[in-house]
Amino acid sequence: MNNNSEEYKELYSIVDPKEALNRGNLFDYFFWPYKYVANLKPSNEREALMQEVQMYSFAAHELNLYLDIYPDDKQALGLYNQYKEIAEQYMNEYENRYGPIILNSNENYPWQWINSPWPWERF
Amino acid sequence: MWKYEKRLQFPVNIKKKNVQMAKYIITQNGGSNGELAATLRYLNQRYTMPDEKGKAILSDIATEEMAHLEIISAMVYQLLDGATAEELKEAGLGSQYTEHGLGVYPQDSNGVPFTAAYFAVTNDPLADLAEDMAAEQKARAVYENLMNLTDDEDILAPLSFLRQREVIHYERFKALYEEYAEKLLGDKSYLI
Repeated sequence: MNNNSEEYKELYSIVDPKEALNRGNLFDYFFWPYKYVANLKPSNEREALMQEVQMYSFAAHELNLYLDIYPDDKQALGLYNQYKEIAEQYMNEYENRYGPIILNSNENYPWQWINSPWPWERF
Repeated sequence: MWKYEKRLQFPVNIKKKNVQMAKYIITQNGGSNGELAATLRYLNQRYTMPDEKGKAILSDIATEEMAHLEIISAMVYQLLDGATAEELKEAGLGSQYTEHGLGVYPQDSNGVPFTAAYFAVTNDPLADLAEDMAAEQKARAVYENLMNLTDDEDILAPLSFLRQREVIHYERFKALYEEYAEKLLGDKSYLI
């Protein structure tokens, strides 16, 4: 990767996962704000843990899209793996406390998948 | 196949009912530049992409657009939550209430139902990706229009997130478009 290439400028501009979620963009190089940028503040523990899931899943997803176009970028792959692992850890913690986000092979009785809140309902 | 994650990609917690904004925002569910059109456009175009990058990026962005459709629908649901028939009637939304109650129906802000005519599938990677780039820009413009219609930060936060996703998707499609243009046209790639 050459230092003047588009992908170099992108990858060396990434912001932390929290800022990335607030912005909707992991890459400062492509950040184009308009009028308002979110500043998410969770109002309880459940929301806080969900936001950790959202932050790290989002950062990993951004790198997934980047890697689709630049599949040979080892550094981006390393970051992807790192963020994805943290996302999975937070997801497990959330699921242990509040019930499944995705269905796994160790679901508890009674079947908790149906429990509210569903994603469109307020916590 | 697809697997559902029982969570939103970005949180939606709208505390203040606002039937008028619901009427506007629904266009990003079922309007011509909305998220349903986006996901179906990419899902249907991906089959004939000329290489692995194209198949991958269209599959992954299509999947993300489904999550955006869910965010928009969550916003509409919360904006309408608890509204009475009378409130909708007073806001000029009596006909909306007649057809859909408080339900979330894929339509634009004028009540025109969703149609597949909003997008194209040509089997030509340059034509398809040029359409995708335009679609992302048009959706960004609509998000800006929506942001100009409210001061409620609970509404602005997800709209701003979704708008920014259009910016990054555009860049991904553009990089691929340029790569394909060079491959297909060689030293004539300046033509497009």
